[in-house]
Amino acid sequence: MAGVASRVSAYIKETMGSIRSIKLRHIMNQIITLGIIMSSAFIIWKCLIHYTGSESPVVVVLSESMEPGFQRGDILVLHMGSAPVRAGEIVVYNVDGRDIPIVHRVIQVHQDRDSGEVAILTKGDNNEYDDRGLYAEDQMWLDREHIMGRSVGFLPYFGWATILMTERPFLKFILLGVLALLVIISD
Amino acid sequence: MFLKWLIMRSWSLKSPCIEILQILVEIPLIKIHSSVVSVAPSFSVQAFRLEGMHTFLYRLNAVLSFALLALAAICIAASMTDMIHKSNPSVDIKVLKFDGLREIYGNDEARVALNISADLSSIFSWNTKQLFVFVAAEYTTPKNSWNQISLWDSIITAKEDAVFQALEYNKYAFIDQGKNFRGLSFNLTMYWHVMPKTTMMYIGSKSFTGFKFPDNYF
Repeated sequence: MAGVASRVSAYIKETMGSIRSIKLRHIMNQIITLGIIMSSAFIIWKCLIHYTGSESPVVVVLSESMEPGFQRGDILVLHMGSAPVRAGEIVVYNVDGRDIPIVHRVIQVHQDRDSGEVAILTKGDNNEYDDRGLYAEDQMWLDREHIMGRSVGFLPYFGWATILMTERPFLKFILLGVLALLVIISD
Repeated sequence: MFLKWLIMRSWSLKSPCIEILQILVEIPLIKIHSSVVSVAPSFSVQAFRLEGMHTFLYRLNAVLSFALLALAAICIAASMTDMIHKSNPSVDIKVLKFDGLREIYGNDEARVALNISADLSSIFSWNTKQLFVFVAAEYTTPKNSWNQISLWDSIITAKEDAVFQALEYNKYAFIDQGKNFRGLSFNLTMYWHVMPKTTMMYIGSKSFTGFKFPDNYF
């Protein structure tokens, strides 16, 4: 009787042990894979920041103010560069007291002879008037500190994924759910 | 069973190459191992299989990465053709007359009539979405080493519209940072910002020198 019990318990222990080792290995594998994916994405992002000199090297166009050149959902690639900003460039700038940066074209530049500082005025190609109405109260010019990046290239439509996911959060959950499901059911 | 297989296949049919390869591998195996098993059920088993090398995820991943790679290659190719694209735009800018020069809130403001004519049609390439054309006054003052004021602009979306003439007053305010306009000489430069259908943007320009403001307010 005792022999049977010990044999059964040994069998259970063995089975449990093998199941546990498989599961543990499997879970660890998936965690490592996920970690690699996330860290490589992070590395690419940081490298882009370093090479472009812009704190957000890729931005998505949200408004219609630069139509028909840039449409909602286009992705802009930014590069800071050390050369002073000149008229005609399309810059991304931040205004104090505003959360969302703006992508507009530079239409006026005044560069101080002594300090080398530039005073910049911008305007959206599709807007009637210049951007003084968008700036902070009593702000006449943008300085270098306001400029987040200068656009060098763009990709059409690719930003729609981001727009949809920020404006319809449930899509994000659906996507995450489907991905999680696929990870679970696949080996 | 076959219908199920068809549905699964149409759902997961993303990489025909892999499928065909698989069929090529599977058929001889079936023939060797059992002569009674028909072909369709073995495929259905194949389609439902979720582990191993040929899962739906693997295929989706392969197709998506290949699509992205192909798109990137096409984008780079488009930029390259833009780089070798040669153009010879012809531009002419004249100041017709000054229609006012005054001081406003401590700054000088001028009103000027321009005659702008250009043929920029050769700039258009197959990757050009539009040209953003503008004319800027450029000058230096004792305080500023560089001043640029856009006076007029236009968006050209078609090659046919790239030959134009405009007789217009300055569209945007021509206001200095200070009071330096009287008797000052300045340049007028036409810039064309080439906005592509995809990838690289670039700017071209042509300058005209020897313009001069009137010597007195009027």
